[in-house]
Amino acid sequence: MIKRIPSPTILLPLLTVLACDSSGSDPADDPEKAAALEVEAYVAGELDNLVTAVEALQAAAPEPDADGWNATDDADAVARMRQHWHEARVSYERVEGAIAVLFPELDASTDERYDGFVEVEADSDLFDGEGVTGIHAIERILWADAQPPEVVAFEMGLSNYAPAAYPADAAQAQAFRDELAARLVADVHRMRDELEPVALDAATAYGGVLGSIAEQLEKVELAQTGEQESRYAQHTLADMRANLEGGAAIFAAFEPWLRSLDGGNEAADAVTGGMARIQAAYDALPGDALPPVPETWSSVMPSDDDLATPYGSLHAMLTAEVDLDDPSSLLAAMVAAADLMDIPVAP
Amino acid sequence: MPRRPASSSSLPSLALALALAGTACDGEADDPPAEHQTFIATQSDFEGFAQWERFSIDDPAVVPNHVAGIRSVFLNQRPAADALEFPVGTIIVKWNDSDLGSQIHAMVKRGGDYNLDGAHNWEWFDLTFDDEGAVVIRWRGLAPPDGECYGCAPGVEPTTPEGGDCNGCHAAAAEDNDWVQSTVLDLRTLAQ
Repeated sequence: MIKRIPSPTILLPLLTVLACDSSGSDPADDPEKAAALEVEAYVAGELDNLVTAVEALQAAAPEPDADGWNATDDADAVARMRQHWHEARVSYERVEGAIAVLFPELDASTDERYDGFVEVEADSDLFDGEGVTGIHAIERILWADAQPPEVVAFEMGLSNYAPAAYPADAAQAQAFRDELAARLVADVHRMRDELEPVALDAATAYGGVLGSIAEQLEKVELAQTGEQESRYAQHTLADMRANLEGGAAIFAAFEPWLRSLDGGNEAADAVTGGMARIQAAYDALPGDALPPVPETWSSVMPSDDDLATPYGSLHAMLTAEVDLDDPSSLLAAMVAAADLMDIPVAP
Repeated sequence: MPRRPASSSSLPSLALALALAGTACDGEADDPPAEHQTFIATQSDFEGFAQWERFSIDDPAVVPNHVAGIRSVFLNQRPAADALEFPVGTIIVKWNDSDLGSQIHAMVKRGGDYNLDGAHNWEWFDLTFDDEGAVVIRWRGLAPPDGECYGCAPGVEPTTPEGGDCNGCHAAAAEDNDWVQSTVLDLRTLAQ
């Protein structure tokens, strides 16, 4: 949808003030700068962890041989690769909100879902470093023997669908390690290296967390059609826990600044309270997977019985927490906090 | 990204805002990075863009899908003499203001082989203002996101799939002017 942009309200004074503002302030005297530096350090640490994890995943790939590899004959190696995949996933999901917007093409090559790739063109080789790539391409192979039925049903409906599979011969095993996994290693290295000199501003960091929180409901809703993000490893709830964890860490960097402002304590408490509510709901759910979607589920008008299920409770809780029209929601509290700190966020 | 309704009360005109803002201080855009670096712009890099060097587009002709009205281009720093390309770190903001509303687009020379299949080394942006008039990035990247239409007149959908594609339209200037369409930003006359 095209959004008509009104001419700027009280534009002149603000443009003037911003243009004359100095950017060379001391973080000790500048709480905004201190927050941004703390976020930069957190993001850099998680990107280091991400690089370490994907390098370990690549290194754990079995030596190519005539029959390739799979979760039965090469159980230990596959278990190690899966463990490193989990580590990589958590690190990226902690900081994705803050950085993905800066690297749209790398975010796509590393984190796009299978359907996002094949809707553009078919992928003739599951194991090379072109076409379908990234963390979910590797996930799809590592859990090729454990695809949930609803996921297979969804993907079979895609026009360029190709079944998931383990490498069946030496060439495919070598391509997995030296092309697909190597591409992911190269991409995350590039992301880390290109981010290093970037001075993250408050708007980018805080806006990223806002976006990540706003997407929590969407991640739950995608499960209704087998499209959830980490659908092969059944790891989407763990992704969301990592989103929240990263969001809380980044918000914590802003808290000293926020609490130093008039009304800041109340605003900060509203945000941390909302995050705690979501945290409690996530903690109450077992495992890494989203709870099963009731067969009779309707997002438009869910029944009381369906709302009483773990999935229904989660859906209802997130629906309330991302409702911008409800001032008691987490998202509204985060926007209010942004306003208090004068952090421009998208209208 | 969450959206909030923007205020629309007592709106100053672009011309008035520019005229007055230009007298406010002598601030200049931060120095862009060295040529070999990659420049990843953040929202704060657009702050105060109305203070940058301004070029007015008087040509009444409007290319397809671009809104008519007062059109101004802001440049954070001119390229060096004899430059054949805009340097990494160049920010160009184009503000179209008409009876239909305002649009603010930007292109940033990012470098690092960004957008290799399109406007090589350039990243596209769509900007707006928040309720208090601060610059906000609506979207950025290689192309408009789904449902968005770069360069379209407000309320008008592109007539072709390519109609809203930044790379496609700007390709006409790829060879001669480093993908920059505005004639007021002609490298041959702009470099200093």
